[in-house]
Amino acid sequence: MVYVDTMVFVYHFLSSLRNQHLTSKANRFLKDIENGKYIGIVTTFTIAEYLAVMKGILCEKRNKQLSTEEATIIKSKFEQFINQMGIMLYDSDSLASKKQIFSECESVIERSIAFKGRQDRKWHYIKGADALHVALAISVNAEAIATFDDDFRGINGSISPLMLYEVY
Amino acid sequence: MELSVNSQTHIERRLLNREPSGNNPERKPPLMNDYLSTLEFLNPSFFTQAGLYEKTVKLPAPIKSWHKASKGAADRFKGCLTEIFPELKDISEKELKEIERKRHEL
Repeated sequence: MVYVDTMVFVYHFLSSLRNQHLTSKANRFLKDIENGKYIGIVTTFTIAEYLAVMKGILCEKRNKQLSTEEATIIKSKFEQFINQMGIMLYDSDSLASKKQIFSECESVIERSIAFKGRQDRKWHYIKGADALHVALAISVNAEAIATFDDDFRGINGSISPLMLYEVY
Repeated sequence: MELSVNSQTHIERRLLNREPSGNNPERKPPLMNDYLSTLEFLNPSFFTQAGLYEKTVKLPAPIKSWHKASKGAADRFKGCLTEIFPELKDISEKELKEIERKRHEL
């Protein structure tokens, strides 16, 4: 079972001729989920983050506010996609009421190690929202977290990063 | 007015025995629905599998469960937002990387 990072969906939905190299990796990974190689998992927190990222991109591009209808369209596309892909969706609130998500967040940050990027030579380390994703992923017994983000590389413990730009 | 010894004893016995009356019918004690009272009904093997119990039984059910994917779903949604919002068609890889970096600022 693989917890899918928000940006995998963003890359896939924004695929165009100008970004084929990166988005094709997301596409190949999602095809593996479709073919049953992995069981994909997301939470309602993923939807919230996806919506925030998309709102940010569109506001920047148009230099104007996003309408409520447009936000609904963006959200419904995500929901339609996970429905058709058979990706499991967990309610973050329910998980937080049953498991100690925020304590786990702290442990995730404590256990993780910083990592220096090979290409950008910058230090990458797990941050607050990432740690929350990892804690949610652990709470649903996911074995890996599929991501393009180097910040997840240093996570330690019962879950491991699935670095998509290396695997695909 | 002072009561006789027999009357006093009678009242005391009524109080001690709390005989049910029409106005105060005898009630069963409330059903205890706490954890301790149900422990005795649990299978002892649960205690040996405490970790498994925590992991599987207590996990809340997903809003959407796993099911087999619809064939071609991944391809159908590839670039779906660029079709709805044409201004997103020209996003380069560099911009996508920048968006990923900025995500942490959200």
